[in-house]
Amino acid sequence: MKNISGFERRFIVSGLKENIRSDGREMFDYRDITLQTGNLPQTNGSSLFKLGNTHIITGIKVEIGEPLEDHPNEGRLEISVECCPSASPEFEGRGAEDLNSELSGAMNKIMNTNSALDLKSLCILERKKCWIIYIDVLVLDSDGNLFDSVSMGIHAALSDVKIPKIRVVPGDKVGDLEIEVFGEEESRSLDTSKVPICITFAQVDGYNIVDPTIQEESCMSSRVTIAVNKDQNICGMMMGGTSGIDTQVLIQLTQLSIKIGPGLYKALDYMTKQNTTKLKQKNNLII
Amino acid sequence: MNVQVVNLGEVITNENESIRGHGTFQKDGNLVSSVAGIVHRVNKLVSVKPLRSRYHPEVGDVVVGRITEVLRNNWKVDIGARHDAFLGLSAIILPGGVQRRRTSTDEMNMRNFYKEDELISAEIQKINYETFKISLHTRSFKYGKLSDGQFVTVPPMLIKRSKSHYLVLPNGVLLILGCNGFIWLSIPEESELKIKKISNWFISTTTELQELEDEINENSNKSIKDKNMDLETNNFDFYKKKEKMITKEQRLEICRVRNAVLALSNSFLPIYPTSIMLVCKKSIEENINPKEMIKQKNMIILTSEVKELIK
Repeated sequence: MKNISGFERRFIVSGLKENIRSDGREMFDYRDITLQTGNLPQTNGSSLFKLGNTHIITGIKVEIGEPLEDHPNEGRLEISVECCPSASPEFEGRGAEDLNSELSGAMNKIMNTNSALDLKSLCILERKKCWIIYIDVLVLDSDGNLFDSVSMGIHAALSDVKIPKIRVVPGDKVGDLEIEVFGEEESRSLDTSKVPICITFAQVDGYNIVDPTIQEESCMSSRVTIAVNKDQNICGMMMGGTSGIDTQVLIQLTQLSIKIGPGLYKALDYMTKQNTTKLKQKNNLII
Repeated sequence: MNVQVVNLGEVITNENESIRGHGTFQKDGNLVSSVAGIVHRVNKLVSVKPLRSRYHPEVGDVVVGRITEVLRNNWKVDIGARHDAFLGLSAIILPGGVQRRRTSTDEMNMRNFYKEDELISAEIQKINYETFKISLHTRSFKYGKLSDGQFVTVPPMLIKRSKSHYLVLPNGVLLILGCNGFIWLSIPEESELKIKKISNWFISTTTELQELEDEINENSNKSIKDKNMDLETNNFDFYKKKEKMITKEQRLEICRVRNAVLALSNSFLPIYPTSIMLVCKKSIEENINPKEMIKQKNMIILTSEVKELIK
């Protein structure tokens, strides 16, 4: 947490009484979102996501591997989140280790399920081969609210992913099977209509605020992160911080997150569409 | 005005008469730049000032700093320079304004003055270039502990050294522009300040600009005199800082100025009272709320007038 004096904390809390935060936002306003997809040409899908001054870059590579024993006809996601040491002073050296494992665990929990993506469509040969989607997230700059930014960055990159078309052919030896991979033109996208995003509420002196900045995070006593999807279902809930939360407040926050979710999805979809039209224009110029 | 911008490794001049200053080195009889920046020439001394670097402290600079450590008879202050600065116990104002020798009781009471993580505004007293010790002092009424306000950081080269860094803007916002790029926004002490509505500003001619700047200086000096009255009491009130009552309108104005400063910093434009007021005025003309001022498209609109002024 950033070092902050008692006087600055007092100013932030007294501002919340009037529903005014340090940049003029209200309690349930998100910061400005900027999104670009397809930034990394060597990957199968990528995105550069900015929420205020928090910058997240996501790269996705799809590889063929073996399915897990308890899910023989499903592919899977492997998500790894890393906070760059230059993103914040407390990430220096090994300071970000706990945060990295917390973020990776949370993203795996909410996205690596059949309710988020159709994992069965990622199966190639039952019990033998399947697609494994490796998602690597790098936090380049941190200005608070990493859970929401990382989840939205992954959502944007997944909507950009292209899985190559394949064909199973008999191999050199008898009984062997080989996989032939086709070129980029014949690839398919993933259906990301059920992929959830996180909405984080920070509790500051009894007030609940959405999308905290790094100064507000150093004043908060606890945090609730709720994962919602486009169909306004709740997909997961995580808590952090040092104090507890009233059950009534928790129920109110879940209802609030369902109301806030559609607005965020609208912004994300609008920007993803803008990016795809820009790419189409680029391709037309080359032709 | 001829401004020479050089890049790293670019040859500035090949005269043998030039004396090389900061940011240059000699190679093959030429004077080559070691940083990316603007060339400064003073008679024969040639130096290059980098476009973006850490704050370089000078004696007499007004800075805003954060206390990092409380030591035996001084405080260590982070001012964003290459080394931390020191604020000595003998360099602060004692309650009651008395002038006396600091005793061991004062050393025990240091946390009653300034604690860790608190923000202060101070002036650089002296710099020892051999040991790199930067000494600060708060021996005036305009310096000291900062409370009930907001803290923002901008690149230090955007803040020009000027006559006064403790400013009260016409919309009632107290602004302390530290030369190190640390900026403090708050409300001045209660007094009869001439607070005009921003819509009544007319900043088109240079005479009107001058009038506005004079008004700011007048308000700032009044506010400093009010701070002086605080010191008359012989207790720690000056350091305890009771909470100021800030109304909703005042708070929105602080947000407006804060976002104006960030918009100028985003476009790498100089930050001084006139440019800040131009951005605030534009935001009211275009009906942009403080919370929408930080959007990329709005920032371009807001800083357009300032860019014209700079040209």
